[in-house]
Amino acid sequence: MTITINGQDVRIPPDPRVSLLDLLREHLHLTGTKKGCNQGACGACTVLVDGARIISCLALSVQYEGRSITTIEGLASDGALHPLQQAFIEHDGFQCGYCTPGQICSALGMVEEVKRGVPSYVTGDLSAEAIALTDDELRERMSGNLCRCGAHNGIVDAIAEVFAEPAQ
Amino acid sequence: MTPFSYTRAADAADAIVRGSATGAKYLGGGTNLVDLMRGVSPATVSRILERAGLSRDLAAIDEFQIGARQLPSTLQPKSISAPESLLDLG
Repeated sequence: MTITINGQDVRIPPDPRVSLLDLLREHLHLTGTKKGCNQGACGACTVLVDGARIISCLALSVQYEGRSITTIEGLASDGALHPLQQAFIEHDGFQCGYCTPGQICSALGMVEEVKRGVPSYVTGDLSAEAIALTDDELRERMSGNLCRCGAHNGIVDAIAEVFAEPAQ
Repeated sequence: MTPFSYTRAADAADAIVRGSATGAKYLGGGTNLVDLMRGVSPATVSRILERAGLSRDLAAIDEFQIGARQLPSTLQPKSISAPESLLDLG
């Protein structure tokens, strides 16, 4: 029973109680993914499963047999930061940095949801073929990722710079 | 967390049979079963069951939709055999 973590096949622990978050942090020592509330409320543990964002603290690792997980450690390639990681630096998208890996993974999953046309609470026209990533949409869709430092303005700016369509 | 077993059901019928076993709970997207098992009532669950792709099966049923504003409390099992329009996007 294996799971792919950042391109590497890893054996899933036989105990079904092991959360995906604990597998990452305690078993594999991939401590980039953070444990905030461990109750699914803060978003700090967000990772990507086949490109979709999930909160790993409420995910049992056995659920993800055969799936491909990407954590913050898997985003940089050949020493070059992912463009969104670079944008977070340039826009001061963090202070303490604890929520940052979750913010970045969440944003990458969020953008794919927008591309698929998944509406949010603030989407006005549910029948529209394309959803614009406006400031309201971005903030609503990232509202599951809390930042206690209050760096949300920088976070929104960083995500908008990389993914939002330029104003017409 | 109290020990439990994990089973992935083969299909919807298999999930219904296994789900009727004593101590079994369904694990589905959007539930908070895992955090509840850590604290509030850990002794009540001895096995959990997952049916991968069940939402895709449900999506194939006409007039039955699960959407962003669907309230989980209205999603009763009887709705699967007697689908009604449950989604209000207005």
